[in-house]
Amino acid sequence: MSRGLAGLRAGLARPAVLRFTAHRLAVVAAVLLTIVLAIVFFGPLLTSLDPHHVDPSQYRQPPSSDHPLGTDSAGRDVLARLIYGGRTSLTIGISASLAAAVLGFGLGALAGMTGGVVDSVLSRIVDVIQSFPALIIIILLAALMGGSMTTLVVSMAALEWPIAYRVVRTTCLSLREQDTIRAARGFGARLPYLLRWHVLPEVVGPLVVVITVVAAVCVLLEAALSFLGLGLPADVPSWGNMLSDARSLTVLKNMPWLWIPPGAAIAGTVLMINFVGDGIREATDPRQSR
Amino acid sequence: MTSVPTPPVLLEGRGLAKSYGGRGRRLEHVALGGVDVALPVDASVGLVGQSGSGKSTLAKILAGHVEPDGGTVSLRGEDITSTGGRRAAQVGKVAQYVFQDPAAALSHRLPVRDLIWEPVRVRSDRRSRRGDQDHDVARHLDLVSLPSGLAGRHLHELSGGQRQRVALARALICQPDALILDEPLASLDVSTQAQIVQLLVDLRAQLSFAIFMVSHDLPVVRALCDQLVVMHNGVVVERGATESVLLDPHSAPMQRLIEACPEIDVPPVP
Repeated sequence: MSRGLAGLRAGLARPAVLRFTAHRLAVVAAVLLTIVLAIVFFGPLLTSLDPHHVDPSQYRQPPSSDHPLGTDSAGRDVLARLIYGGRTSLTIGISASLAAAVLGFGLGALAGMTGGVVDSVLSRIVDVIQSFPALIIIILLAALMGGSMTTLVVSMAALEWPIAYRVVRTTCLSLREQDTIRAARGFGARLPYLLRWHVLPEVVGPLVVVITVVAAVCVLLEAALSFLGLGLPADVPSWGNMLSDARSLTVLKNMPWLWIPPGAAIAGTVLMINFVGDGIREATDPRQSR
Repeated sequence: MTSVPTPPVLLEGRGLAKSYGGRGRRLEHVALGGVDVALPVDASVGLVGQSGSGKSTLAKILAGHVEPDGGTVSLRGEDITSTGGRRAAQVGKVAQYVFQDPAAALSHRLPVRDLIWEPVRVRSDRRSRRGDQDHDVARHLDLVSLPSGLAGRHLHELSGGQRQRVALARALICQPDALILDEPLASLDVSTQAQIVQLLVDLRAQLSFAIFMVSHDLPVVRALCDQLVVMHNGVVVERGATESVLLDPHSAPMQRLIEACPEIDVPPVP
């Protein structure tokens, strides 16, 4: 039926999904990432693992039937801390990147659509932010405000929004000279309408890619900060905090169960996020469509 | 405040000037050098001239899509030059602009139904009901002689002529007192052009709106416009009733346009 075929060709989303599924690595990564997210966010509901339970008799024990991934320096179950730690690390990564995307979209659209002084001021602020080393600023903020999840998310979002800002601003600069926007202005459309119905559909693809990039960066930042002992409080389970145990040479040499699980989790998750981002980029970039 | 002119003027530009490439700089290009133009109620004004004569810039300034460097624009006698970014919306309440290329002016994401309805949705804060939409869209599709079955189609499934009809329907749903048409036939083949011209003639007879039409196609403006304004290098070189300008052109640019157009002796479309 011609109508059905037309309907299939019509929407922009569907061809994008088809192109995404053609990117095999991205599909595998998306499946694995979904599994990781499911384990990390729903796993604790299904098991009785307790990441805070201290067992003084089980101190740095290798993997056993009681503790599949062994126990850490305080006698806590490594598997439990891995799952709960993933919850912390991924919550930070996801919320910081979403906050950065929302902030970058809002300010980027404002700058791109209004231009003039607003654009100049915002773009200079972005230049300043991007010229600072993010890690050092976050360490400073964490030291001043105390290392909590909120502090980390807020400071990461505050430093990572310029990427989304640049993407959205550039799109808006070219969009606002286009006839579709001129026509909408002629109907009396104001900025919020233009943003929702004309700008957002254009930038949603690139913005999702930015979200994946920033999420990966934030997971790594959390790990780096906690490893240095400057992130979350030491008792909070997070992949970075687990790694900080491996600062001792004995642990590094003789107790791989303490650092391989969080290390592999961080590296694997970041890699999968990046593959998914690549897939989305290729699926939504019209120039990449084969 | 000046006395109300007779016949009343919908849209008027006085001393409009526009340069590109920065004023006073070496690469400055003067697109408009002080142009006066008026669109009275129910009138049909054709703006003709060669490519690069500034006619499209003039239409865009009148519609509020381009800011003039100098001069004033008034809407029903009220000066709206200083309203900046909101000028397009103000003019839009009275005169709707129809773009040269409907493929660039209409979103490729939306079906025809939503394209035509967009102005209503923008204006009524989405409080408009679905039943109203289907009914109104069908009525306006009928107005521009398109089958109502097209409502669910997307832009890439339509021909050039159908797209421009959709653009016209979208302008007409705003119930404008005037249409500003910027070379609306430029991207169409000759027979489709004739159909759209006939459609515009019929629509004007039915709905009585003024038109301000930018074109370099003399047979088209002859069929649609009572008055002509001739531009050359950013200034008006001639203006008057269409027939007298066509039969007895005074300016060299207009004479050249007529010479370049052999079929001008063909009687106008009825």
